[in-house]
Amino acid sequence: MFGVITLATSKGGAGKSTLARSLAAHWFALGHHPALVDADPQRSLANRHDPAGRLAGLPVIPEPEERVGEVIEELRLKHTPVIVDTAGFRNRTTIGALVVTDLAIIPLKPAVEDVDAAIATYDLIQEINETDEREGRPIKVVMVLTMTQRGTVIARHVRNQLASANYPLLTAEMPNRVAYPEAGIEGLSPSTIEPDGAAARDIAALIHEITNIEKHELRKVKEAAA
Amino acid sequence: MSSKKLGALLRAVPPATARESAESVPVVSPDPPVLPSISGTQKATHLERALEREVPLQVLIPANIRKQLALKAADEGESLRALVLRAIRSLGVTVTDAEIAGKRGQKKKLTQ
Repeated sequence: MFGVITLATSKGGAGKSTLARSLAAHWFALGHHPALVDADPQRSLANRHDPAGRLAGLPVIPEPEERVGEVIEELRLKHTPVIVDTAGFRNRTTIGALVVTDLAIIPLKPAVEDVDAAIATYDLIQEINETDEREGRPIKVVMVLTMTQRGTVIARHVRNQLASANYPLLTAEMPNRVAYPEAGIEGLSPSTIEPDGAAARDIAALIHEITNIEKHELRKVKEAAA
Repeated sequence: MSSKKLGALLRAVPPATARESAESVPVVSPDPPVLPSISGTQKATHLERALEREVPLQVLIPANIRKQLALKAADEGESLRALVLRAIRSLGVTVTDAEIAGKRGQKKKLTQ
């Protein structure tokens, strides 16, 4: 499993926090030991988290400062995966988190502003990959469509455009569902409240695809070593 | 210690917390907008319109208070909505009986 997964895009409102919490809650429900790092100064995850509630076993650590990298490295000794939610603008904390990340997920709504921000974030990650810190072990990066509505032309259009430009876009999506804000009121996620519901199935599909990417990466490493 | 390339990347962006920018940029409060005063008749029209279109009010409260409210509403045989509106009226906010009664069932009564 990817040790550190960071949700990043320089656009606010793309679904970073919702997706971060949903992934963490789903892995937690599957019996893993994830941890969430809230590196967004708004602290939307940390503020809603109930340490005595149903996700009590899922630590949520607010760390919007630049020592975020050290915090992540400490957490990864005990937790897998460490999922990092970042602020919706380009900042030092996000870069600090990305430097120690195994998989970067760029969420984007099917809207032109989100696409621009997603591409800018993708480019930023490529710049980080060129630093000495990431030499020989580039950050794996994928984009994921969020808040989509089934059958809309714009979602298909954005998907086709990104695919034609060879941006790595997950097949699974996080469609717009009321289950997310409803569960979010109590700092929970659909996988906690309604594990057999449609939203939980969407998250399961995303996790399945992320797991397959990791398997593929491992195969590549083994083949290179052989 | 960051490499030169990473150092350059970090220096090119602001910190996530607003500390530095808050020190350098003065906070300017815009003048409050001037609201038109509402005369008696206008106020009535305002209320009628409010009755016509209802909007949701969602607040987070401790679970025990929510439970007490539900029990009180059941005891008094009225809806939670009516109970909350009565409480709001006791604070001095203008809430009419018609607004407390709400629109539910009004259509039915009119057609009877």
